[in-house]
Amino acid sequence: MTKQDTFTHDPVTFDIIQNGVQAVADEMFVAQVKTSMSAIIYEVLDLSTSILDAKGQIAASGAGIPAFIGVLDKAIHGILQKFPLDEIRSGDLFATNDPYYGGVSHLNDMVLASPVFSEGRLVAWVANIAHWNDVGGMVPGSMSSEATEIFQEGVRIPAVKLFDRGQENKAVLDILYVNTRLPDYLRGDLWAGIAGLRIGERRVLEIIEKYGTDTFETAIADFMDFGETRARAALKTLPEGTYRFEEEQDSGQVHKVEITITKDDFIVDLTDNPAQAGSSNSSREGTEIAVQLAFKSFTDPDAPGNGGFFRPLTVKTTPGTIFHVQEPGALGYYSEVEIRLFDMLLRALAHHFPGVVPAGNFASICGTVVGGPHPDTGRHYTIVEPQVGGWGAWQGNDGPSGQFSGFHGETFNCPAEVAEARYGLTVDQVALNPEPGGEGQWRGGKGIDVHYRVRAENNFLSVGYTRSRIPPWGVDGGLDGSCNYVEVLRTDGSSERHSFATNVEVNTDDVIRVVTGNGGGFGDPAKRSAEDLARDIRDEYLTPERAREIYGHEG
Amino acid sequence: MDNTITRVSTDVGGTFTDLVYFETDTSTGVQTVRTAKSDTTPPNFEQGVLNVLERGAVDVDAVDMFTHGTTVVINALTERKGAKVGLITTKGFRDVLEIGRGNRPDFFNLMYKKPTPFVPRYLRREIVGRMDYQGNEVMPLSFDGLDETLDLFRAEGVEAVAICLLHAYTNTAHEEALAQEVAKRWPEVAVVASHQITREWREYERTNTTILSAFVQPKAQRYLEKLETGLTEGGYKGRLYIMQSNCGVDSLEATKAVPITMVESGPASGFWGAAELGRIIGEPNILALDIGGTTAKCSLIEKHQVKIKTDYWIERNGKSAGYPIMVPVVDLVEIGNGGGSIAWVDDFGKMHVGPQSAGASPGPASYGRGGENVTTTDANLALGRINKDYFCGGTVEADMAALEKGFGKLSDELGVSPAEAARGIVRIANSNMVNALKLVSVNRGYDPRDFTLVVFGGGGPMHGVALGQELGVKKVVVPRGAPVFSAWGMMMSDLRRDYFVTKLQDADDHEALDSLLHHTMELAREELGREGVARDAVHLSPLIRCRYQNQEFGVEVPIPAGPVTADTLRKMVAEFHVRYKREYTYTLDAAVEITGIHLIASSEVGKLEIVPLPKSGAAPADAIKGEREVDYATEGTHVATIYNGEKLEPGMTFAGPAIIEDPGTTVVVHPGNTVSIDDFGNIHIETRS
Repeated sequence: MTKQDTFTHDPVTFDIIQNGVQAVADEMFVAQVKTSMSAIIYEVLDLSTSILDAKGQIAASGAGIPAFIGVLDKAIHGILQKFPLDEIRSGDLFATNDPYYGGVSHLNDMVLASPVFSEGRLVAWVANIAHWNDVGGMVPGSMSSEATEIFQEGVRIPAVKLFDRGQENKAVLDILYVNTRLPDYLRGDLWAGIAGLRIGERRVLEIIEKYGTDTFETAIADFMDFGETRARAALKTLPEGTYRFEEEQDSGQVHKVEITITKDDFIVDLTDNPAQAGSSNSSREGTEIAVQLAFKSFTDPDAPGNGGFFRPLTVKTTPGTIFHVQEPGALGYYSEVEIRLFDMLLRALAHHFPGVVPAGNFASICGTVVGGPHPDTGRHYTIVEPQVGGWGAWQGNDGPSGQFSGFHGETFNCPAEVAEARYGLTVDQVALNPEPGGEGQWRGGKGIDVHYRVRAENNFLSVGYTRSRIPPWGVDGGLDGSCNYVEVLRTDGSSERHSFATNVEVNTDDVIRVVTGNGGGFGDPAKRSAEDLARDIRDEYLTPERAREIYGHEG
Repeated sequence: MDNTITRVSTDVGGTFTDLVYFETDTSTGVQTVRTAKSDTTPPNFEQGVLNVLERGAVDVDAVDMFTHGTTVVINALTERKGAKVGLITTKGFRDVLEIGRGNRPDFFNLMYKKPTPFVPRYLRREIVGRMDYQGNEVMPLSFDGLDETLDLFRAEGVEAVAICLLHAYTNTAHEEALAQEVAKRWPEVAVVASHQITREWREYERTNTTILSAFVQPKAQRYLEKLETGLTEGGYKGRLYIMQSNCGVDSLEATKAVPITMVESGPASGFWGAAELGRIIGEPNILALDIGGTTAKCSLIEKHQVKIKTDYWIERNGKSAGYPIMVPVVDLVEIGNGGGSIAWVDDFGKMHVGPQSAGASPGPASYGRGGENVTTTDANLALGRINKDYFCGGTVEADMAALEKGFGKLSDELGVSPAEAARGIVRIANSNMVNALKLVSVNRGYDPRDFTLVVFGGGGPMHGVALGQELGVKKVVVPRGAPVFSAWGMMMSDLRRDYFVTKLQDADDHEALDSLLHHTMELAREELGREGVARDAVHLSPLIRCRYQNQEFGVEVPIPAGPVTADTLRKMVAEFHVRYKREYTYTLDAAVEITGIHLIASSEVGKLEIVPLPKSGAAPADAIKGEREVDYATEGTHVATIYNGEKLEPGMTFAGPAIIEDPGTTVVVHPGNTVSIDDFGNIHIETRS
């Protein structure tokens, strides 16, 4: 008996292999973050890495944001649809950014993937996806709220080989390099991704070498089954039935969902929804990701987010709708579509299963772009950042204040001291949103009210905020929260309010006021304890007048 | 006048207070070492120190140098037992503390609870006045409303005032004026301003750091004063040095002013010890691992240098964003896996080890103090790795019945034999620790094969070889005195201060950099001068922090500690590209900017020189106690030779499978390993075949 035979298929060996695969995904993630050249990758962490089994089921992911966890299986499926197995060989490296060919989100997000071979057979995939700054198209940065066709959004890479059996496909690389306004960045980000895959492949092979191909594959299969076991265990605790919900959007359109829960299935039916239009559309795969995120948060947040976990989940869509865009529809602002869906699913669940999820939160990426000349250096600067906002309350807890949306995780805001130096704006205040809203037995968390004072002429502002007209919802008698918006305070005393806007001119001493919503409240305000109210008033989360009006509190 | 130099260091840990006593006879060069342990005595930690001095039979009035490390600061923070703090900050910014950085590490948890600020909103008060990022005053400071603020603080029982104003890292004038004014209007209250602690940007981190420092200040001050009084009453006449988180020591006075710098003093001294050990044994690149009762901590040492950073956070993990403390702390990763970590089975039949620990009470099942859960220590005992007849150095009788009962329960839940359960615990604990070691090495671009693994703490030597083999390190070294290695490291420490100063400037402006460096070096000389260090005895190592324009990550580049000329700056920039490429794999054809400096100022303060141990000429066979069956978990069961660690001496070599038993720890030597004892009594284990 050799050393390892003692433990070939025991649970501890499986655990160690599974943890080892997670460590590989994390190492790939760190390697790519460190070597990437674009801030959106190394600061916003708009990237993800995965180890997948031969069929393209996710075994482990490394990600900075939850919205990017279940992405890469869809990409591998896209590759497997296009390439027969005998055309996938050791040393191949695939690329796709086209949602119509496994690219998932929008053209800015480039997927790179390599098959891993052992004993002559395909045993795994390593893959990553990252947001590239510019892939061509009609506007710098490639994303435009005005686009109507994918052709306007940049170069399409429809699942092709960048490397064929280790041989670089120079033609494709050359095409990539010329289809961008920022070739140095694209080149840097591309090679960072390739380097990450190479590390991943090497590490997976090290694990296989140590434990054997058969043990490795069995351990991964066991891990998938474990994920499924966790999901099914959670499903068993839910009441069977069909649950419908519909919700009006800022645009006036209505989104609809029907959720069916059986002993073995969780079916999300989105077939009855608005027709695709503009660039606010999601691919079917992107829609699945938003549904997966809600499913996992709802059922078992701590379980591994692997392929097995999502087996009980079925998503139904209608081609040609915003949740299942058809070629050549545009997808630049897919993320606000996905987060609206994620939020509606949570709301549907909150409606039918009170208490299982918190009241509504500000639920928008609140993408904010400000740019122009730096007043002190004259260099051009661009801020591209999501915003923090208020989260909903839940039974026994007030909601958290100033936190990124459910699509974000380890995303960090930019400190005022850094922003003033880097962008040359003056940050007049970083405060919690004082507007009313979100009152309840437990109150919603506060959004923010941040003021950027512009210090030069000819700066511009672009924003993509939803939940700007219809506020986050309250639960069980808790009041609704407040809305997300941007207000520009002009030097002449006038002001204007924006939610979706491109290239608004801002000049010296104009103030850009970023306001994000207060989260929804939970429970009847009348039940809030006098002690909590006294503390709210003391801490100025609540004015005495509002306390009297909503809570009947005479402090 | 006697011919001996006596050094004593004490290290207050979570469970035990350790002592190392080192006496050097200057006429013969002979060194005598004594170690002792006693229980840590919260909340009066100084009592434990005085106890261990007594237990170690230390004649306090003959001691020449006394160094001290303590967990008192981290304990006050984690137990939330500190002062009531009020904050004064710039108008418009009181909510910075509550908003924080907005991140949410627990991705799928919709009911994530943000860390609660240490100061509630009504005690966060604002004041008018503004600096810009270049340090220019754009609005003068106004004391309007200050009386009202201080009246509120008094009425609410505030014990310490924290001051943090925007851009105070680059211009301290407003903070200084405000701190003076507060002290003038309210002389009894403790006041600390952010610039006294850190000169780096990022207002959330700086504000939180200042508040946490204020929070621990009164308590730490009292503790240090009591310790000083206790020693003085015992006749101690020398200087008392306090271990800091940056691997240096500092004076009692300086530490009392900003006690937050002690936050990770325990681990820091161990890692410094590992770096110093590397110098002695000629190993520049070290992975250092300290396994205690509750946690394991590791750090990477490259070319003899410990890495000191200021992005340190407490209570930060996969479930919480934690709290930043922006002080110089040795770069470390800590996991909840130690000797006392409890093994448990989840609802899905999977076994886990830690982070829950059995602590000192009830302790592992085999301590026989009522602990029902088995721990890593119990698994090591069950597998014959620890000697049941020499448990805790023979001071505790192993309760084998309790052990059997505990494993019975665990193996029932898992559906495997008790021996398999025990092997599982060891393998899972090892897997957790390997992943921690990877975080400080492979995940930062280092190849463990270029490193020597140094293991210490009570549990380090038990797991070191298995971890070293898994990582493929050069070799594993168990230092002499491994169980009290942190206290040993303290004796090797220099008086050291790390100055991190943010000042954004272009990399072609040598005059600006010269001015910044000159002022910081002068400040360091002046401050160390106050500690009695002569000007020319201050050793200065400046590092310039630079990056490509507008990037986030950068590197530190060394520069000579003299005037900065256009030429030195050009060389620095050239070196930047080289270092950047090594770290990030590419270079850019872009402008370079300087974000500030990191100046290391240090001075030796009676550092211990280690001399070789004497040899009696004994053979390894003379150290053999016997043999027994040992289960090596992944490598089967073997009959191992048992050595008495106290009888090993320089020059001895032998092969595994073997166990080395020392009163404070057990070294597990695997089959195929080769062991050699160096001139200083350290155990070197070659793991490569």
